[in-house]
Amino acid sequence: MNTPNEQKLQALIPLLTGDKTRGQAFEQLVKLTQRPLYWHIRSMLLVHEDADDVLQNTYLKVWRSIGNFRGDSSLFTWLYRIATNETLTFMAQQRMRNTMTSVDYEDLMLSRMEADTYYDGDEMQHKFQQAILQLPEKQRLVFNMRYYGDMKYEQMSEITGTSEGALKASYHIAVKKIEQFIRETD
Amino acid sequence: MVTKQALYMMTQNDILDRLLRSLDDDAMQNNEAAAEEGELHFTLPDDYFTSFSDRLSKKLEAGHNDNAIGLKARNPLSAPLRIAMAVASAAAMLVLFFSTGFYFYNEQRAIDAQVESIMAYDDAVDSLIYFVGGQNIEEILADATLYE
Repeated sequence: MNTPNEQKLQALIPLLTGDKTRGQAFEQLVKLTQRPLYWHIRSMLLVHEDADDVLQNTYLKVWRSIGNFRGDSSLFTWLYRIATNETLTFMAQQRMRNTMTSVDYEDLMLSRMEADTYYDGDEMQHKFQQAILQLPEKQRLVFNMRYYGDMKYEQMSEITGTSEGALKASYHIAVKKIEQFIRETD
Repeated sequence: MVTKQALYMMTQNDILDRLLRSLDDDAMQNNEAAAEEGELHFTLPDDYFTSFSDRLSKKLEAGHNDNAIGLKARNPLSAPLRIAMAVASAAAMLVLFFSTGFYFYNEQRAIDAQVESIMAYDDAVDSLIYFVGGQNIEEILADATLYE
């Protein structure tokens, strides 16, 4: 995972709460963290436009609530948690919006990904995304953090509030399901 | 030349291989290249990250308050107009409340009047039955002729 320099982030904390330094420190925070947060969101939402919206919402929430950051976890873990919550909220809203239609939200995501200008996957990669989308939402989150984010279970545990053992088991099951899906649909 | 099927199989093998490796805790650590590999089929607009942070920065430069970065939608109406609209909507709600109440009060009164008239009719029928006392109406009429 492209984890930003922890020391640099920690040094920003007092600056983020100061009235005069807040703006510049926030700008620095965005520059340091936007890349991994974007990819985390994108791996869940697949479509660039949606990921861009959620990334903006994430930083707006961070700007609004930076004063509430207590330092119980690292700043990056806290940001990741906000990004995860924003992503899950966005997905829930989209699902609600689509309850009136018979189209499954996951199917819609897949077709939107295909139509997205910023996707150039081939047939196999499409099938791989299809396999990931058949996982339950939370399991998909765990899978993406590990597979795409290359994240340690320890950090995943801090973000999701789930034990490392449960995360390992969940990831293992997810991999087996995906493997089975890929082999069966050949 | 690599055929489409061969390319498909190569991608499949890569994915399955990476899935297998990802189960091994140690193999995943510091494996930056593998992480990038997974992102290859997702692309981005040129200079996306620069433009993204610029967009946010511009909003911040406009002022360090919630409105400046778009957290709260600005209300385009002036304060006196907003107060006038609030008073007007409260008045409209009151009118609606009382007119609805008056309508239901009148309806209830009409229903009560109908019930009363039905009850009066029932009382009259009951009195007649009591007066007749269950006798055959012809017998009563026959008895009545005795006194003619």
